[in-house]
Amino acid sequence: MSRSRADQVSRVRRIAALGQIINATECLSQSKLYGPRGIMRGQAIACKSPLARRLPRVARLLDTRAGATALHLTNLACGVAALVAPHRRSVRTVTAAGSLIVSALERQRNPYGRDGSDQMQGVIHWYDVASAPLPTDKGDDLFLRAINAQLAVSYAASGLIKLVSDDWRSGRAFGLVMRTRMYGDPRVARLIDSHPWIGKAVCWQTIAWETCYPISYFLPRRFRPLTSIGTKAFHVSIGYFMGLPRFIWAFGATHPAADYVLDQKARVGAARFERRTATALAATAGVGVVAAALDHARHRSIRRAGQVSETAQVADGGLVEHRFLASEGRARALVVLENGLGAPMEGWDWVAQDLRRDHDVLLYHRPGYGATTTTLPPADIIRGLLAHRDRAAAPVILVGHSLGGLIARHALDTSPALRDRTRGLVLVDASDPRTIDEMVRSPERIGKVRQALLLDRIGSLLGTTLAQQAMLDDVDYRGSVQRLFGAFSRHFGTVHTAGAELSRYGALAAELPPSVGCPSLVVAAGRGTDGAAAHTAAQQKLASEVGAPCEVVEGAAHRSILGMAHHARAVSSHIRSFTTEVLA
Amino acid sequence: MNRLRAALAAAAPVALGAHVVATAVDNLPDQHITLARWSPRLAGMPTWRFFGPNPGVDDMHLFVRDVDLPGSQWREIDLAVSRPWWATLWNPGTRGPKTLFDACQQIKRLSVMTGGSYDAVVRSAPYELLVDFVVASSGRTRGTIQFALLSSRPGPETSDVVPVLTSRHITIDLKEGQ
Repeated sequence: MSRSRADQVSRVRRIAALGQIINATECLSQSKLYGPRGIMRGQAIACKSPLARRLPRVARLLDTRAGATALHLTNLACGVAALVAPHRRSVRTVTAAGSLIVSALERQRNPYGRDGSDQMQGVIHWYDVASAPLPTDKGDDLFLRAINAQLAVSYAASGLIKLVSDDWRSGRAFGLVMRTRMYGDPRVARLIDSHPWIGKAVCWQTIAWETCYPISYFLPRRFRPLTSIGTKAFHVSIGYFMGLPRFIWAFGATHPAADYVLDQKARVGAARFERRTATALAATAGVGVVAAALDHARHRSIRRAGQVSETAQVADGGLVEHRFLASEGRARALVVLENGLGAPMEGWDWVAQDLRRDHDVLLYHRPGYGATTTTLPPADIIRGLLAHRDRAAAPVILVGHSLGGLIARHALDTSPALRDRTRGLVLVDASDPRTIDEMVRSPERIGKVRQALLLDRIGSLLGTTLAQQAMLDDVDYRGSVQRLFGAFSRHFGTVHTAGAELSRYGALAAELPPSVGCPSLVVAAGRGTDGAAAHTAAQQKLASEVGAPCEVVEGAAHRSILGMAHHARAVSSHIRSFTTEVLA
Repeated sequence: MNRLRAALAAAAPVALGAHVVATAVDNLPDQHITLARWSPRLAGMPTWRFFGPNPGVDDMHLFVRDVDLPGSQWREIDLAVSRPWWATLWNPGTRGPKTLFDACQQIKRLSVMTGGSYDAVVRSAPYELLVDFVVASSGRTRGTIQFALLSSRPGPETSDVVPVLTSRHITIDLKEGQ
């Protein structure tokens, strides 16, 4: 026997109200934490919240303990009213609007400490307010369908992000979380330590359940009780493990909406709201995929047509995409620039333009990148290009950035002919072979890198990297170069090749001898993800291992050391001084 | 009034549908699109990435010492989350530790974003929040204290501990009742 639409709406609001009441009373019982020295004290003024900028007196009042208590009492009152009279439209609308205002003010007051239950409560209240102008029947229908759609999105999003996570796929995640004090349980952690398969099973069960949840809408009617029980058990178990009663109620409130939609589907088929939302979602995804495909095709054609570079045939008959910048004056040496992992040769633009004043400069793409089709190793490619450019006798300075530093060292180590030609090696914020080797040997660390590459591949296919590309924040090339840099970096082929290169050179890192066999210089970025001091120390350690001096470019980060003109000028200045020294 | 209501009624399905689609896009697994980056007004979009892609598996530890008292040792401030058997029904002790955890994470993020700039960290709101919390937890009304924030990765038997931040010396001079 199915419940009426009004009953299901009342159930949604009543269950949500229980969570709201628990939340408000929990906060009221901890009022000391909201005082001037408490961890939940008001931060609106300190954080310069939008409210503090517009209404500083109100923000100051909100920051007080009395302000917090007033918010919690209002929240409590809204919860109690919704619990008592969820069938009255006016009560629902007023309490939902009141709860939204309280929630917004709480976010302004202190931005920390919020969780998924707060978000789901916010969704329920905002959907109830937004559907209020519609006639009751239509409004209730829209409210329930929209809540159900959010439930499906929450499941799918949570499952898909775990599906691309190395921590979850490897089965480590659950055991690691269970060891923490915040969400863990020592008894469960011990059980998983002694029986690792349990952790793996929980991880994969979570991935499968969350990812496949939307499929449950298409299952035959006889499976409905099973999915309904599964959904409830899932949210209760998460609430139990997290010690969050308000999570159980907030997500439990969505279950009547799912029941309603499933019941309606059996009668009249999918409604207009679901059809239109699914269509909009598919259209959005379609636009992204097509835009990405066009972007990739355009980039590929630019490279292949030789509009930004040239190609040269090398010993195996394959092509190498490259640029040769002849010196504007008398060339003191030929500088060969080795790109980092997944980086285009255009990444050296600032450095190359500055160096070409008194150096010949050679840039190229390794196998798999850009229009390069050869499979020869970098040492053979460099020698082939030098011969192609009639520079077979010029003294060579090899410069490598990031993993390009390790690759340049490997090229010198494996090619006596290249070693004989090379007068010096410059490592620009280069990877330390020992660090790379340690990373490759650590399943967790290499897993994170592979995960990042997988996410980049997905972004490259979906076209999301077209909309936002974080790495472009660190670089500021000339307009056309910036566009080429972006297009190259987000190209699916680039990300794919980067993954293969990481495996290849990661495996070779341990075999590299500490000595590079020629004079060398380390140029380090002054900043790093592990902090300035730690990063500089790591680069100085690399320098001492290869017996090189270490120059630090203050304020530069790993990418901006080449991508920002002023940092790049510092790099080329160090290279120029080094060349003068080694050729003297 | 009726026209306004009619307009709102017509806009409601579109608004809710758009919100669902925007939530889905904002929660794509590759995480390249974050609507909050385009506009701070969109920062309130639901985030449904529970424990993904990489769950928080580090514990935060706060240590404090009395700088002005000779021989004073570092002592840990208890940040443990209470988990009584009735926690599934009523558990008021989670908000405080979660806030502290978020503030510590924000300090860690800020440290990475600023390349380890100490000045940027000590000028930040989460640092001030920690200072107030440590002062209150120290139980002192006068004197000088210092705190250290450490992060640990709990292992089966031992934990790897990494220092995150050591504070400046904090002078306390509280009036009665503060």
